[in-house]
Formats: sequence, structure tokens, C-alpha cells
Amino acid sequence: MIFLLLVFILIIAAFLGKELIPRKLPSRLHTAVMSAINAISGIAILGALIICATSTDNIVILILSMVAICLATINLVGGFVLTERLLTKNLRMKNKN
Amino acid sequence: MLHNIALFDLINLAYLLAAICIIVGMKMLCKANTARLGLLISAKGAFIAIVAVFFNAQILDTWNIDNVLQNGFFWCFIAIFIGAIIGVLWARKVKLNEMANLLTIFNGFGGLASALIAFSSFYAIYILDGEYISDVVRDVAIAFAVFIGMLTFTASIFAWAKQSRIIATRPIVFRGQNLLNVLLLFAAFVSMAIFITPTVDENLNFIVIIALSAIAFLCGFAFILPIGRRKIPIMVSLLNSMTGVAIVMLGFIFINTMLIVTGALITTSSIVLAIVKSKSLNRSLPKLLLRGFGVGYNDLRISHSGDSRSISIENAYMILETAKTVVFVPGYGMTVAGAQQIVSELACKLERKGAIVSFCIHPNAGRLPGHINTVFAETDIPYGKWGTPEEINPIMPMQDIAIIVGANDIVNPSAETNTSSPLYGMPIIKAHEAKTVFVLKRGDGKGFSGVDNRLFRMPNTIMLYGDAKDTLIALSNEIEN
Repeated sequence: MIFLLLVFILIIAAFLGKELIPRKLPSRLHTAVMSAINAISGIAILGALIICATSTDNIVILILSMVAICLATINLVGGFVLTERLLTKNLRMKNKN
Repeated sequence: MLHNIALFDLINLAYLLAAICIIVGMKMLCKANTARLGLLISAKGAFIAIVAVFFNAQILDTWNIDNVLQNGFFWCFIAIFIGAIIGVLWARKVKLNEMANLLTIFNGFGGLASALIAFSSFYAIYILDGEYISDVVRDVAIAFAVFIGMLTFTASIFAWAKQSRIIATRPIVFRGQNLLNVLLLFAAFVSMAIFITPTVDENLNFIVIIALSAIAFLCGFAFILPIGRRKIPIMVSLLNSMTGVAIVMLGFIFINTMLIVTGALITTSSIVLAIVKSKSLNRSLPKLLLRGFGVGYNDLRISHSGDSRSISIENAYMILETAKTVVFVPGYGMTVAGAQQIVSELACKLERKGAIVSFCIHPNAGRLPGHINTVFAETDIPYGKWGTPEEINPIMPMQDIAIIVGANDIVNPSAETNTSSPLYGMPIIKAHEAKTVFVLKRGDGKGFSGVDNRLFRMPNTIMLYGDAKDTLIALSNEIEN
């Protein structure tokens, strides 16, 4: 039952994602939006945190999950900083005209 | 019991809030004036979700003051701390030219993280004492997350290597490539099937999951081989959507709604973004993708007809002096040489001599869309002189001189005429229609797409070899004399 519920959520969210990006996205925002979506994919850190916190007694899992947390955090935090930089550059250009 | 249920509800409420933040944030990101606020809101959404996950009963139970080493929070915070510092420093230090590349690496990290998480959750079950219990949903999710995560990782790393010119940038196609791809996918399918089948032999599953990672590694490599440089940004968008799929799979492993919702959003929005992007290259996405896998790449080696012509700076200046209308076509080479300032100076001097100067900026010039605009924003060139190809192309035949500063593919006439060219259909700047074309270029090399450029051997084209910045400074000095 819970499986069907999760599939239900999955499909609704997938359709929402399809509608989220406008077909006429200005081309100078393409890279920034891609970068933002990429940053959000660092949310995989949730899974890594659960594994890491509950496996402190096994060194192999602990190391693997800590590496996973590191990578996901780089993806998340680095991605947001990168997007911010891309947008700042674009805004400076906008103020010029 | 009651206490646990309340906490569980609270966590899910926080996830709901986080998901709303991310959705609203992404919506706002797509409009130029709300983009920054949107980014901030989606970052807050991610933060809320991360705080909420620590209130998970499983994690809360590990809170332990007496023995810090047994405390899950301790290890989690150390890893987050290290990752955050690396991420912030890396994203801050990277040069403007390399930003899109870094994006590709980050995406690879996301994929590798997903694969590692799925593998660790399998390993946690594997080392448990007692009988190995199969759970079809969980096993399918683990197999897919490992496979897709690893594939995304290697494909992203190879895409990055291709973009940074560490490996050949042109599409690589060889006989039997399709067969190899089919074999790899078949091997992946077989190993997944073995893994998913309910079994008592956990050691077999352990070997299979390692084999699956290796196959995924090869798949990622094979995936990127036939892709040319122009398509890499679109490819990265697709790889991004694959990370989304891996995250959805993690959601099924941990029964976590936040992971499922975010993963699904990432998957479909990235695909739509790839479609929007390929439209800006005037192609449909499936066509763009299938081209790389298809035939016809032998046609690319167009026979060299005629030779290019190059002259000295003094002679080039004589031609430039008489020009009444000049259009600059900046490309990636200009940003590499850091020549934007000197382009702006030369333009000023030409104007003072009475020429009409304009700048034609191709939306896809440079490494990322809008790259040239961003670089030009730092110069004194008035915004009114910037034009898009649609605006400048009609007046191109009236231009006395078109000066191409380190651009190649965006002025390649074969994008209009040669149907077998991978550039075919891409809107170009028709610089070849100007009366005289100056091409500032470092050497005889090809553009990033690896396609030969006929423009360089046209009778009205003059090559000025050397560093774009030096050439422009020399031209600029000639005016002063």
C-alpha cells in the first residue's frame, strides 16, 4: 500500500516538474536554471545522513556514507554558490541597459 | 508510540514545506527579475529538509553524549562540514570560463553520492547477521540507483574531460559501436535481473552489484564518446535528469517522500530544459541525440578546397582604415585571450574615425549561453550596439568588414548548406556575407565541434593568425600612428 502511495506522489511530482520550466525560458537563464536544478540534486544527502547516523558501528559503511555526504554537500552547497555567481553576472549585465 | 507518530508527522510536514519552497523557488528562477530570490528560496527548502531528517527517530536514537564516536550526529556534521567547505571554495574560485564545466563535475558528484548511498544501504543489509531477506521494491531501487548513479558519474566526468579538451572534443564513432552499446545494456540488464531475483545467496548479490557498478562505468564512457562539443550542455541537462532518477530510487529505498518528490521534479524539469535548449540550436531533442549514434560521420571530412589567405597587420590596417561599417563577432577565443577590453578600445577608435561599429553576439557563443554578454558587460561597450544574429544578419551584406574574434562554429557556413554537418540547422552569424572578413585565430585548429570551417578559405576572408589580444593591440596602435 505504501508503495502505491509513493508511486502516486512520484507521478504527480513528475508532471509538476514538466510544467515548471517555461518553453520560452530566456537563453541567458539556461545555464543558471540548469545549475540550480543540479544544486537541488544534492538533496540525495538525506539518504546519506540516514545511513551514516545509523551505522556508526561499521567502519566500511561509515566511511562510504561519509564520502557520500561530502559529495552530496559539494553538489548542494557548491551548486548554489555557483548559481548565485552565474546570476550575479547576469544581473550586472541587466543593470547596464 | 504516540510520541513517535507525532514526530513522524512533523518531519513529513517539514518535508512538505521544503518541497513547496523548492517548487516555488524553481518557478521564480525562470524569470530574470525574481531569479535570485527564487534561488534563495529553493536553497532554504533544501536546508529545511536536511534539518528535518535529523529528527528521524532512527537518527535521534543515536544521540549519545557519553560516547561521541557512537553518535551519528558527530560523523554527519564532520562530513557536511568538509563537503560544504570544499563546495564553497571550489565554486568561488573557479574562473568564469570554467563555470559550466564545474557544473558538470558537481552533477557527477551527485550521481556518485547516490550510487554510494544505495551501495551502503545494500551493504548494511548484507552484513546483518541472520538470513538475507529479499524485498523486491528495495532491491530494484538499489540496483537502479547504483547503476544510474555510477553511469551519471562517469558520463559527467567524461563530459567534463571533453569540455576541458582533456580528451578529443569531436564525436568518436567506430564500427560496431551500436553493438557494443547493446551488449553493455544487456549485461547491465542481466546483472540487475540476478540481483532482483529473490535469492538466499547474499554473496552472489554482492558480486553482482560490484559487476553492475563496473558495467555502469563503461556505459557512462560509451554514452559520451559519440557526443560532440555543441551537444555537451544538452547532455549535461540529461545527465542531471538521470541523477533525478537515482534520487527517486533512493526515495524508494528509504521510503522518503522528500527524495521522491525532489527526484521526480529534477528528472522531468531537466528533460524539459534539454528540450528548450535543443530548440535554441534549432533542432528537436531526439534528432540531436540520435545524430551522434547514427551514420554519416565520414562525410564530415570535407576535402580541403583552396587555401586560406593571411596578411600582415599593416596591410590589414589599410583595409580597416577605409571601412565605413564594421561588425565584430566575438567568440569563446576572445574570452580566453581576455581581449574584450581591447575590442572595446578598438571599436571606440574606429568610431572616432567615422566608422559605424556594431557587435553581433550569438546566443550560443562561448562555453555557456549568454557567456559573451556576461564578459561584455564588464566593458564600456554601450548595450545599444549589441545585436543578435537575427538583427545583424540582414544588414551583413552592407558591412565592409566583419572581424571575427576567436569564434568558429557560430560563423561556419556549412551549418546552412551541408546537411551532413553536425552543425546543420544551427542558426549562425552570416559573417561570410560581409565584403571582407577578418578572422583572428590562434592557429589552424578546428572549432570545438571539430568540424572544418569553409569560411576560412573563402576568397573574401583574411586570416590574422596569433593571439587575438596581440593582434587587436597591434591594429589599435596602427590607428594611433
